[in-house]
Amino acid sequence: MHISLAAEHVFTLFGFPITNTLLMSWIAIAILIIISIIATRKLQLIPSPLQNVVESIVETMLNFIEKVVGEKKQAEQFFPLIATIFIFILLSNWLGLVPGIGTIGFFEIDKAQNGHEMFIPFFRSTNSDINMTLALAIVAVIATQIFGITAIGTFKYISRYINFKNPILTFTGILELIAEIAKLISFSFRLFGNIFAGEVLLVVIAFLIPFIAPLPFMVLELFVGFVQALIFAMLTLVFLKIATSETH
Amino acid sequence: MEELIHQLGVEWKLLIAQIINFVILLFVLKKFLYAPLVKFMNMRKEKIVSGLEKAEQAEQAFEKLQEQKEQELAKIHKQAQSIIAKAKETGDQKQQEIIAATEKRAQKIIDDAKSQIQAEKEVMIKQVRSDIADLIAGATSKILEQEMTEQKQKDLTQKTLKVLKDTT
Repeated sequence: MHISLAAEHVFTLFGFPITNTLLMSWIAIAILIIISIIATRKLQLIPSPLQNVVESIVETMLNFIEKVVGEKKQAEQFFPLIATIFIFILLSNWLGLVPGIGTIGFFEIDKAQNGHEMFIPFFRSTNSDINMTLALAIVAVIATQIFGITAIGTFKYISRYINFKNPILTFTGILELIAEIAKLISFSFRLFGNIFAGEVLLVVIAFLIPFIAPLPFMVLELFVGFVQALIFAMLTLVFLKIATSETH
Repeated sequence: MEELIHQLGVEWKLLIAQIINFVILLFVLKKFLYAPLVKFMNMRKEKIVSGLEKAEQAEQAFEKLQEQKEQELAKIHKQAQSIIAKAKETGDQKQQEIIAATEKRAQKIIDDAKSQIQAEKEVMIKQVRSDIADLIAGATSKILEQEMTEQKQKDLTQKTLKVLKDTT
């Protein structure tokens, strides 16, 4: 049994490393884009089943965001980012749980471990790669800054972090800056840790007791996947709301 | 630190690739899913609201119409009742009139008949009297066995008539 913290390279394309997590994220993105295009190609007043499902998901998320933000206009502004984060994380977490998806792969001779043969799966849960979660965290934090600047003005927003009016404000500004970096780390490692741990747990359980025993853990991981997507989206939403409110 | 980053498998190329992936997904979903769907759902909401309003209006109008209809019906019923009553009244009156007229006419016919009978009776009596007078005059002359002059005959007849008249 071999467990690698980093995502395995499947192949290299023009000097660009393609990992199994990258492949998985492409699949998730492709599924989402295809479904969204099919669902909204012919919008009908009396919705088709697919349109109905998509509509109810979108409406639930929109209502949820509106409840948190408390304002319809702002909710519609935040909605695309929050919804995409939620849907993408949820789908990629669940795709990683598809039974047998980690068994498709090939063997490679690992030079680092004295020519020991190593199994490389083609697909691996997207968020069990720190690159993916860090990318999401970077997008979320940068988006927070952009929304904050457009909502309350460049100068006012920057004065939150860099302020020489009085020493207390200067100090809190430095704290705020640190908090932004801490956000990056907490966002990325929370998601990565949970999903990676889930993957490892499933592998270990399947290794110990191959039949029936992994099922409850599977259900647990489905739940964890949902909760992590929800947490990521919710925190982003809360940070967005804090960044765009004047009183601070 | 460097070692930790390497152990975790952070690669700048992959990181940037994933950021680009996510941003592309974000924009595609925004363009193809969120924007049209939210717009469409708002439109449908408006449509439903206006539809419900219209339905309510229609219901109200219907109720009003129903009420009007009932009122009209009641009015018509009342009118019909009064027309029937009036017709009955006039019918009764007419009947009375006809009966009265008929009675009157019958009375008149009876009266006429009576007076005619009376007149005829009188004429008959007159006739009978003159006949009797003639008879008596003839008989008298025959008894007397003499021819009477025309003048005398007439006188005798007159006299007899007078006697007859007086006696009856």
